[in-house]
Amino acid sequence: MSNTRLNWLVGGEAGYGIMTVGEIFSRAFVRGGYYVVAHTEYPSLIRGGHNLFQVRIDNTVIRAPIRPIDMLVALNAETVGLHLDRVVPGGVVVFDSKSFEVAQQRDDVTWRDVPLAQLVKDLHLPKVTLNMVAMGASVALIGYDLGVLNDVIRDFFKDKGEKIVEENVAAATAGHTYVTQHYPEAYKGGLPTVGKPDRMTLTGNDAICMGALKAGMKFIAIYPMTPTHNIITYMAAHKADYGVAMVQPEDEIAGINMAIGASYAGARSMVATSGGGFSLMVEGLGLGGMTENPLVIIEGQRPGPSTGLATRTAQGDLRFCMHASQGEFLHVVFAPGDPEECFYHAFDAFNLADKLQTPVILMTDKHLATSYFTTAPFDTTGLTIDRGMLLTHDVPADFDRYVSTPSGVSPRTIPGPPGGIFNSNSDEHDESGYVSEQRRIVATLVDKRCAKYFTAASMIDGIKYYGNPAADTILTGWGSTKGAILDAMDSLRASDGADLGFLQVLFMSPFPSEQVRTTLAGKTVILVENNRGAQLGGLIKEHAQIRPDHTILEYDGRSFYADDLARRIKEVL
Amino acid sequence: MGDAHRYDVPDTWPTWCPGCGNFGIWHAEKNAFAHMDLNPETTVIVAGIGCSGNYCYWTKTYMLHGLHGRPIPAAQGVKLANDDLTVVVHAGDGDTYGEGLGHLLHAARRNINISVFVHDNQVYGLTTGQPSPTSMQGTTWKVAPEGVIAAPVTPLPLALVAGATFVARGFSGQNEHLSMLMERAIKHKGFAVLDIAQPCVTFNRVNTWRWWNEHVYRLDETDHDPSDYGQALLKAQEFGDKIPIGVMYETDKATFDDTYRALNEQTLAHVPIDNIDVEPLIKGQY
Repeated sequence: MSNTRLNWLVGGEAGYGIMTVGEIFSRAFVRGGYYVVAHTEYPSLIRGGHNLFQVRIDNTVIRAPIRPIDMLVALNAETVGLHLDRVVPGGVVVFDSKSFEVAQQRDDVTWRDVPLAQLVKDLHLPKVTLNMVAMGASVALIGYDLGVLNDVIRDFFKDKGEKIVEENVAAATAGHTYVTQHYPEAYKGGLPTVGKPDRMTLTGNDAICMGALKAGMKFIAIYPMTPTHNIITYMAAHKADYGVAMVQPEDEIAGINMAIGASYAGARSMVATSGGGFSLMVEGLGLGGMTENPLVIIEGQRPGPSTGLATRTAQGDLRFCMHASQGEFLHVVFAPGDPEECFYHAFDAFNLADKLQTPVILMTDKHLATSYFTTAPFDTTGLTIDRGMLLTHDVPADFDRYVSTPSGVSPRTIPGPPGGIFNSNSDEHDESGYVSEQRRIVATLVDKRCAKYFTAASMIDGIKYYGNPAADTILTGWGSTKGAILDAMDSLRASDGADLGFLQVLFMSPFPSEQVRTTLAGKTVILVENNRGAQLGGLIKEHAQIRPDHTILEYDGRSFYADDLARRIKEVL
Repeated sequence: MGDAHRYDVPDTWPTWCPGCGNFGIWHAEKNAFAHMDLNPETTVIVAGIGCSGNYCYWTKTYMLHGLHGRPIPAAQGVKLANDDLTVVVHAGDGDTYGEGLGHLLHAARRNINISVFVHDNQVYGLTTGQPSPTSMQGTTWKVAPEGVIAAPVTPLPLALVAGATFVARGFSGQNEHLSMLMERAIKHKGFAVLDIAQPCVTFNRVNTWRWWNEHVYRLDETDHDPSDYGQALLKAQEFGDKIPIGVMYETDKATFDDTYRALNEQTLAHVPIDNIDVEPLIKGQY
C-alpha cells in the first residue's frame, strides 16, 4: 500500500539555496497530482542563521502547514536539534555524518546518513547545488518519481543556460542514486504520481502581481521591504512584456507620491510595502484621499512595532491600515485569505480604486505573501476593466472635478482632453478644485468624500461563509488564517464529527456590519487572529455589537499550524 | 508668441503680500509659456505647500497641489505616466531643500525630463517667519534671536553633483531674464533645476529687493561657459558679495523617461488595458 501524504522539512544555514527548494520541491509534487503548502522560516540574515522550508504534501486539498514532520532533512546539526521533537514516530531524519556530528537521540525514527556534501564534491559541482542533492535524495526516500523533479529543475533554471540546468539535474540525480543504492525501501510504501493536473503553485505575492497585470497596472513604485520584496522580482521578470514602468524610489514617501502622480496622469498605479514603509506612506495616503486619486496599496504585514521581526508573520496592522492618516475620508481596506483571493481581489482593487477615486489598501502578511499554495488556474473570463467616471474625451462645458454627488464620486479628467483642466488639490477646495475655507463648502466636500464609504459598501461583498450555515459554533477570522481555519475544521470534522462554520471577513473597511451581525448572532463565536489585540474582535464588537465567546491568538511571529489550531479549538468546544 | 493672459484663472487674484517676489515669478512664467505657446491642457504644474505652492491657484494649466516636500516625486510619476506632458514643479526652499532634499537629489540622478522652479525666499513665510534651510548663517529671527547657527544648504552644487543636467539661478526682480531661464529649463531635455531668488517682503528683513539687486550679476555678461562642469561647480557655489544669475550648467544626457517610453508605443496613461492576456503567467505557475 502506498502513502498519500507527507510533511517534509529541510533546514540549514542560509547560503545552501534552501529558499529555492520550496518552489521546486512543491511544484514537483503538484505536477504529480498532489496539493502542497510550503512555507519558509528564516531570520533576517544573508548568510548563516537557521533557514527552513517545510513542504506539506497531500492528495486532497490542504491549505496550511502542520507541525508533525514525516521527513526531516538536516543540512546541519542545528536543524536536528531544533526540529527532532516534531518528527513523528516512524519518521525519517536525513543527515550527513561526513559534514557534521549528530547524536541519534531517538530510536523511534529512522536515521538515514547521506553524504550530501561529499556527493557535491565528487561531481565537482558548486556548493549551492547541495539543496538539489537533498531533494533528489528525499525523492528517493519518499519513493517519488525523480523524472518529475528533474523536469521542474530544468524549467526552473532554463533561463540560466544549459550548464546550470545540467549541474542541478546531476546533483538531484546523484542524491537519488545514492539513496536508491543504500536505502531502497521507500517511506510508507512510496508516494506515487497520481495524475498530471493543470494546477498552479504560487505565493500570494505572485497572485497579486498577476491580478495587477491583468487589471492594467502600468506604474509601480516599490522600495524593497520584506515580505513584499519579491513583488519586485516578479514584476522585473514581466514588466517588459506588459509595458509596466517600475521605479525603485529613494523611499516609500517618494514611492506613494510618484504613484499618485502617475495615477493623476491616468495610469493605473500601485505601491507595495510592509508596515514600516506604510508608516512613511501615510501622508501620501491622505493626499490620495483628499485629491481623490485612485491607487492600490499592498500592505504585507510583519510583526512590529518598528523593525520588529523583519522576516516573520503577523496580523497586527489592521487598525493601523483602517485609520491611517489625519482627517476623515473613506478607507477601503480588504484582506484576501489565499492566492486565489489575492488574484481576484488585486484585479478588483484597481476597479474599486477607479470607481471610488480613492486609494485602496490590500492587506496580506508574510505567511500569505511568501508561502507556496496549490491553486486551480485562475479563470479570467468575465474580468472586466471598469475605470468608473474617468473622462478621456468630450468633457462637458460645465465640468467641475469635485462636483458633489450622492455617491460622493464625480467625473474625473486626466491631462490632455480640452476643457478638463482642474486642480487636484490637497488643500480643502470647492467643487472646481479651487482652494476654499468657506464653512458650507468645507462641510459639503467632507460629506462628499465620506459618502464614498456607503457607496463602497454597496459595491462589495464583505464576507464569505464556509461550512454548515446552521452550525452552532462559528469560527471567524480574516486574511491568511483562512487556510489554517479551514484545515482545522476539516480535521475536527473527521476526528470528532465537529460541525463548525467559518465566517471569513474579507472587507475590513467598509466593515460588513449587517452580514457579520446576522451570521454571528446567537452563535458561539470563536475568534482566530495572528495578533495580540484581537483587532477583528474589536471591530465585530464595534460594528456588530457581538462579543466573541472565545479568542485564539498567536503573536510569536509564526502563522498557525492547522493541527495546533484544531487542538486549541477543541479545547474551547 | 501666444497671449500670456491665456494662462490667467478668471475672477481670481493672488493672495501674496503686495510686493511679494512671487508676482515676478508668476509673470515670468506666464510670459515663458506664452512665448513657447504651451498648451495648458498638456501642461502640468505640480506644487508643494507654502506661498510658493499657492502659486497653483493662479495659473491655468493642469495642477497637482501635493504635499509639503513631495512635489518632485509626484511630478516624476506624472511624467512617467505620460511623457507627452510638460511637467513643471513649483516649490519653496522649505519644500525642496528641507523636507524634500533627498527627492531633489534622486530626481537629479535619474535625469528625468521635468523642470523644478524653486521659490527661494530663505524663510518660512506662511508660518510667519521661521528661518529656512537657505537662511544665511548668523541672520537673526524672532525665533532664532541668537542667529542661525547652521550653514545654509547649497542647492545648486548639490544638484550638479547629483547629476542634474540643467542648473540655473534666476531673480524675481529681473523678469525678462527669469522668463528666458524658465523657457530654457522647460525646453531642456532632462532634469532642470532653477533656483529663483525671491524676496519675502514681510518676513525676510535681510534678503530684500535692494539686497538682491546689489548682489546679483548676470552670467551671460561674463565669459562663463555653461558646458564646463568645473566652471559650473564654482559658479554654483558663489554666494557672497556677488551672486551669479543665469545658466550655470547645461548638458545633454539620456533621460530616465525615454527608457520607459521605449516599452510602449503609447504613453502608459493611454495604452489600452481592456484585454490583457495573463494566460502565459498562469501557465508559468504550473
